Amino acid sequence: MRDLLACVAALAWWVTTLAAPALLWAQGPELTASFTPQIEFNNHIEFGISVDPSTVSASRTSPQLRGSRSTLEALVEATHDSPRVAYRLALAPSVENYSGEGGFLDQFDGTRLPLAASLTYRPWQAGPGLRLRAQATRLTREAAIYDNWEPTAEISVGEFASYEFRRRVFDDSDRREDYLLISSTRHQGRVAGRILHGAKTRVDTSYRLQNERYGTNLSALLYIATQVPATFRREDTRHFVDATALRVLGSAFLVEVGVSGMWNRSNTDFYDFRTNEASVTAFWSAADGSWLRVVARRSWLRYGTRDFQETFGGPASVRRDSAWQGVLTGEWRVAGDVAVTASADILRNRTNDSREEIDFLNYTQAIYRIGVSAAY
Amino acid sequence: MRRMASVTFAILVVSVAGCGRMSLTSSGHLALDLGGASAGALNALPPRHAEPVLQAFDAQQNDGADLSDPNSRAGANCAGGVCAIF
Repeated sequence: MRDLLACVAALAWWVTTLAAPALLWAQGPELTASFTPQIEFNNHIEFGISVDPSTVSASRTSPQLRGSRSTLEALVEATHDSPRVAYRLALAPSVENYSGEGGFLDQFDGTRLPLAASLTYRPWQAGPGLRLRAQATRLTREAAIYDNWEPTAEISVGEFASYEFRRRVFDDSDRREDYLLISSTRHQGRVAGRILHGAKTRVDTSYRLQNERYGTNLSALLYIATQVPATFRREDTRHFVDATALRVLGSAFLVEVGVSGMWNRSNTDFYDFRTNEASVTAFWSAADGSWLRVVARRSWLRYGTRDFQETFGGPASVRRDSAWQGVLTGEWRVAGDVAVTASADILRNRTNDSREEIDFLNYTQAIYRIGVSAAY
Repeated sequence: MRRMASVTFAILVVSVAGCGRMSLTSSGHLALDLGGASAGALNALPPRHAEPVLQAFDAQQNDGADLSDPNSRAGANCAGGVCAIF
């Protein structure tokens, strides 16, 4: 079944990638471009090295990496839209430059090059469209350990049903301590529904089912931590459920409350966990296109059996984390197609384990961003 | 207890569904319209007729979603070290 889905996804990927540019060329596309320079300060940068000390090799005295990231992103889009069909081709290269920690962060300097294409066909003018989407992203960093390709294909019916195939392929297959640095294949199905009440109230719900299989190039450290044989291939099945309720409270203001849950079931219980989130969002927009959004979020993480205390020789207890998060984001239109964006994102995480070795999970992360977006 | 909750939830879903009208909207959503003032106006009408603040909210939510960083750890269910264990 998985192989059949992969074949369908590969076919959809090639059809979309080849047909969208050809159709755009024939129809005469509308071209748009935008540029977004941005600078960000982050006091808790994570790249798969500042996490669980029992499964990482990077030895540092502090788990908090502080630094800034300067990004320059361009977006070039070619689109064509008619009542029956729509095509889109987008290229969004970006360059990232890190600074901080005495030059340690320079290894994360890199470039991203996503290329996306989509074809939408609407059999009925008032009904949902059938959409094929293909994307390929190349990521490179100074530290070649992160270099990878990521092709994605998606087939969707309107906004209520979709299937997505994603493959992540790293350039090398050296032994790794982090599953984020290992090639993987993911299948995802999604269904969504909406409940409407009048012009000002709506509830959105969705369910996603994910299956992901990982490569086997793990380091010995990870085999020890997870207590699985060297031939083990990790495979996860994930269930995501979310619901949001939105109410428009005025011509320029709305609020939204949301809950979500995720249940990860792996073929080794070391990776069994579930998370729950609850959030409240307030959104304000002005007639000139400026907007402001405030989000408060509470989340809980609970592992099935992962036991830090056991690893470090203490009394047994299953790990549980909880976090508070506040995000303030805004965009101000300073001229017709020029906008200034800014955000502040504060997250405070706490774990139930009081041992010193695990204290790195009791952290407060602050991310501040400011940028300018200019469209043509 | 779990069975009771499931039955209650099922009754609630069926009751709510029975009060509404299921349709595929022009925005591509499978929607259950429960009526109310200006019934159907939220999504049955073309986007240009919807509440301006709602249009701005949806546009901002969808902006760049399909070109988002696949290597990013940001996003829902990514707090509290969850991403670290992927």
